[in-house]
Amino acid sequence: MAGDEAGARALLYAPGLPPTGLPTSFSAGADGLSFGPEASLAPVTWAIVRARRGGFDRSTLTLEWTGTTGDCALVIADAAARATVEPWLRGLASAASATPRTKRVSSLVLGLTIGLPVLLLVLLLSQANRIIDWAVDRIPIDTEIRLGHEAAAEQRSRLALWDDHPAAAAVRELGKRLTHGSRYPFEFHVVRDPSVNAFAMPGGFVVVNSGLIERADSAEEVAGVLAHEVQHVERRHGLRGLVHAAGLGVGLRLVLGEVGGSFAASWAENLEGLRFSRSQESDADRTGVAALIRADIDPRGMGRFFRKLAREGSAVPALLSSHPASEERFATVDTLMPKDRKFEPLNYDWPNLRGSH
Amino acid sequence: MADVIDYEIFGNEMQYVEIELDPGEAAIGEAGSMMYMQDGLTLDTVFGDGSAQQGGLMSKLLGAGKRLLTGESLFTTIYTNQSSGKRRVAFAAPYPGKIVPLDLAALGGTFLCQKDAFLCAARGVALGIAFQRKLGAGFFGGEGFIMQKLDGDGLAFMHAGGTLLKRDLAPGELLRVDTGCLVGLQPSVDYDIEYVGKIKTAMFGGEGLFFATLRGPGTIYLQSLPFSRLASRVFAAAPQRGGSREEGSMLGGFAAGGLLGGLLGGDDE
Repeated sequence: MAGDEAGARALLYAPGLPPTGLPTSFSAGADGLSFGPEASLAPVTWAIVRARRGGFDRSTLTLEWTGTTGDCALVIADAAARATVEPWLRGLASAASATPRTKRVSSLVLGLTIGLPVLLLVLLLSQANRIIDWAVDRIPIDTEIRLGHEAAAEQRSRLALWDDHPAAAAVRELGKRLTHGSRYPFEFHVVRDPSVNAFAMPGGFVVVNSGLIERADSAEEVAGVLAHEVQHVERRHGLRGLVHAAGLGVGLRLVLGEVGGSFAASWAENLEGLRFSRSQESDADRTGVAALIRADIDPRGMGRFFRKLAREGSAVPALLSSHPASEERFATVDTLMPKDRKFEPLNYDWPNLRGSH
Repeated sequence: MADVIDYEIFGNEMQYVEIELDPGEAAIGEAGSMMYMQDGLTLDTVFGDGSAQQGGLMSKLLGAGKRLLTGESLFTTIYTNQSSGKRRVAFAAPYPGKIVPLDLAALGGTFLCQKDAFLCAARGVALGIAFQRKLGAGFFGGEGFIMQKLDGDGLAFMHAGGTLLKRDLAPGELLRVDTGCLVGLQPSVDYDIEYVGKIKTAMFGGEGLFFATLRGPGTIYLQSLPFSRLASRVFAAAPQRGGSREEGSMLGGFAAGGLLGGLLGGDDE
């Protein structure tokens, strides 16, 4: 739309002209502004003209003055047209100097916009343990038990339960003694599996392999393992691991009490691959020893059994492979042993019960 | 030069615009706003905006990126009359309101409208975006921050919700408007965001915390019913959101209670 007439083009607003502005040509000179014939407006001197940067996106030059008929304005959007006027203007100097300040402010806001989420993320990661603790504390017990039952039902179909094993009744009795007064409904089972292992699921489903029963020399040793596994449940270690693995989103859903069937089932697979952390293991050792003492069972059986397994280096038993075995760990357990207390030996004929072949 | 098209607007509160195209003329429209078209019109979807096809791939991508920024679809549809007679195509408004014909030549060649207000235009009108450079407007201006820019000398049509108000601002005249109610303005109009003042007004007054201050000269269009306002009322009244089922219920506050109850009592056994 190059102008046919000489001079630059702009929109002219004045009383009597179209309210949307009249496209007109104009020229700027030492005397002032003069307009094309279509505007039929007398020339204006610079003395009465005010200039400012205006328009929606601050890209136009707006010249305003009060004429004989009322307020008038010339809005110049075109850069070339603006250039013809700018040499005659002094008032715009202040508008131009305002630009750097805006830039400074905008870079500050930009920095905040980018920096704040990063800061929050760092905060979240550094406080992850606390957040997990918070979430786990808010998961109701019955939700945990329901979740455990789902997972246990899943496991039950795959495990070869051996509940009429000669030692199964003894395992159940020992478990009952160790979990007296617990808030969880514990269940103890023996499964047909030659590996030396035992595990517990959130909610109180505890399983002992027949291989472990064969390797134990006394009821106290089995009680030690049971006490350790029971503490994983009581201290909600599995749940913590789950929240950690599944993330906070899932934890929040648990807090809100939303446990669907398929949802829990997908978690059951998570449970299996779950490993307890080193600190959780030693926590279970410590509290396990305390539980044994409360149940009036000699806690030295626990240390004896773990040491025995660790010493036989040929093949690391499964129980210890998932439990970081170290001399410090056993030493810590030893310091917890009461020096001056005598325990009645448990009244089980273990070599007979384990069904030695 | 943009094509010179004839048009007719039908309806009162739910309008559509019928555009008559001479042989060889074309109209561009938002994908999805077309109502019907007569035989003999070909429909072509182009990437970016539908203005003259000069420029390489980069400029096309840039144009498309701008459209993405304004929240519109990446593609524009061109309706071209390939027949030997006059043919008609109609575009319908998406919600109650008025269709506004804009003669860009009379408006000085450029007009800005709210980003989802554009309906259709004659071929030759270029679609772009205009940014509000002021910081406050960006953060608090809401709908007014990025406007759709219509460039050219042909006809364009935009759609305004509710009742339309056309206002001509004299040089230096000030008008404060809700940012959502501003549907279109000439680029000569200053746009600024003003803080209303009291938090209390913002919380209980129902209006946004911020107003747009417009300063003339130039013509502006206001809509009485921004679609976002209507949508939030509809959404709040939906039964799934705990909205009251009886009309004229005095217990409007239950909507919030229902939401809270849904969160806290989430156990659906």
